[in-house]
Amino acid sequence: MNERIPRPFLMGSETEYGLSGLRGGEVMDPDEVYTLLDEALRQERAWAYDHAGFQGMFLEHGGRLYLDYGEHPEHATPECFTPRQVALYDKAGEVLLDVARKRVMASLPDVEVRVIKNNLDPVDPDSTTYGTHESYTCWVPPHDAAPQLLPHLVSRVLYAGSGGLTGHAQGYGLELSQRARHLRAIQGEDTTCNRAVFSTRVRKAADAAGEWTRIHLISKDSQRAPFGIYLTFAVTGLLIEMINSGYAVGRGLALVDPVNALRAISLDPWGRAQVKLIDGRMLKAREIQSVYLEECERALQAGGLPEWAAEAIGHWRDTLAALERDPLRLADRLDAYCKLLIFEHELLRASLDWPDLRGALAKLHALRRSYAPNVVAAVLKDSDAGLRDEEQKAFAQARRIATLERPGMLERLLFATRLQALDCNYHELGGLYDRLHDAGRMRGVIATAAEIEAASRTPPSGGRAEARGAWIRNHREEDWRADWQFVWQTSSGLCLDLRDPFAAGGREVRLKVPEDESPWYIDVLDLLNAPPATAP
Amino acid sequence: MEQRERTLPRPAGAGGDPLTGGDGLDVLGANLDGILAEADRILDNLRPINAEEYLQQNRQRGGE
Repeated sequence: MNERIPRPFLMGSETEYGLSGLRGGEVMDPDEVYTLLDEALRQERAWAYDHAGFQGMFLEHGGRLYLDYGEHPEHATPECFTPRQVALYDKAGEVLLDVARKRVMASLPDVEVRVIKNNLDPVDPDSTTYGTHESYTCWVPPHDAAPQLLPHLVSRVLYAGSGGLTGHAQGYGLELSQRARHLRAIQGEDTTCNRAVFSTRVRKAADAAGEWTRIHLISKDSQRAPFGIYLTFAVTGLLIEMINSGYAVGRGLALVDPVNALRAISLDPWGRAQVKLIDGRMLKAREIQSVYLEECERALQAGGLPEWAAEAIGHWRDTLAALERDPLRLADRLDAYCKLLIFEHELLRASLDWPDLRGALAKLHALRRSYAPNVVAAVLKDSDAGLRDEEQKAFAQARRIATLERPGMLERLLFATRLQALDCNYHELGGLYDRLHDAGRMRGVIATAAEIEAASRTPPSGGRAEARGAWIRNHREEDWRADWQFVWQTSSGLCLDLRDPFAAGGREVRLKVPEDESPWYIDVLDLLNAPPATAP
Repeated sequence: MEQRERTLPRPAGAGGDPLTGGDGLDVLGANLDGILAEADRILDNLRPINAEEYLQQNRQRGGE
């Protein structure tokens, strides 16, 4: 290993939420629902318009909320220094959207808003996904880091997933990861189709400045339980920090087929799947993680790791030990195992087994892909009452596909539908996860509700997010605009320059703003880069 | 894939964190029982046709 050179290290998450709304029982356009949330949140928190648009805002906690591609509200955390901060601010995004949701529903009694923190369309999960992305500061070229991290990114599915039902024939019926089925490449830039286990996407010039790159990973799930968020960022961040310090990690762990290995690990929630290494060995995900853990423990003893490393390694070690004894020991702190516990129990209660459920899920999938919702609903009612002639023909065909004539098949389809709804409801703000948490059944482990609430109002201290948050809190006039790299007032040109992501405090300047241009079209970075920017 | 019979981690003592010692298994056992009771409550109040309607209402587009 090289002598450790202390270098700044930042982390953060960006999470897309599912969104739906009903007005008087009728489904609303997601754009309209988002507008209601946006207006409500502006009444609850200090904010500044997002200079980039996207119906967005930067908030007093230093993070950002905006409407992203596919009509998904996206919350980005402020720049964080520790994995615990990432977990708190990731959860703070839930608080912000929930505050807005409740305000909308209190003021508009005929409107019901649902905000869902998951990654899959509940009706067609094999086709439609949306993401949560991780950012880490990497001080070595990403192509050097990738091969060291790939076996980790594949095996961390053990705790980086949030679980989801699947009718996949080779699976158990519950996958550890919602994203696994949508990862198709080992490395690559694409985030909407050919998604990669190690994403090489660099979104902006400011994300790769000189010696460092903001690595932008897309393979983890959105998670409701904060311990999963923490552990995912802690372990991945620690490994990247070791690479930053000159360590080689993941030696001898190269996989023959990382994409299919990740899929196989995800499909077996009990952790028994073995994957093939290039050296010929077959290892379980937990065994791969244990090799990385030993590397980190040795480095910890040698000194030079971040101050949060010892705590992270402790949680990591305990989690792997629990997985070896019984994954259900993690049911009160990790989403996927909570669901595994619940679905195992409900199957027993219904006197069904996992193959029954898998078969029913596969049939539901086929039905929903081929028939209109009212025809599928008619099949589940086993009645074509109310269908038009053409729909009745479709009903008869769909009924054959569903093999309703087989004893018990209709009951299985109904049971599987209810479990899918429960699976989705787990992720809905105010849904099953929150009910379990509020009843004291889910452990935050590293985060309390009070700390998460505080994170929704206050930025992490010591970095540029602190200055961003303070300016947003102290300047409430509507002509303030914000970006990751600046906060500025369109009328005065007063600007807080935050271009250095690692510097605290920022620098006040007064911009020379062209008078005949709309504030929205002004390229503030151009103005900041063009000397001289005079002191105010 | 083989079927597995569920066995909840059972108590061995009281207090603490179940991952680091036997004491916390009491808490874990109570938490797991509580999780199942709450899931049962929701599921038992969910009619299948309402479940299908709920899923259809929450359809999402692809993102990123």
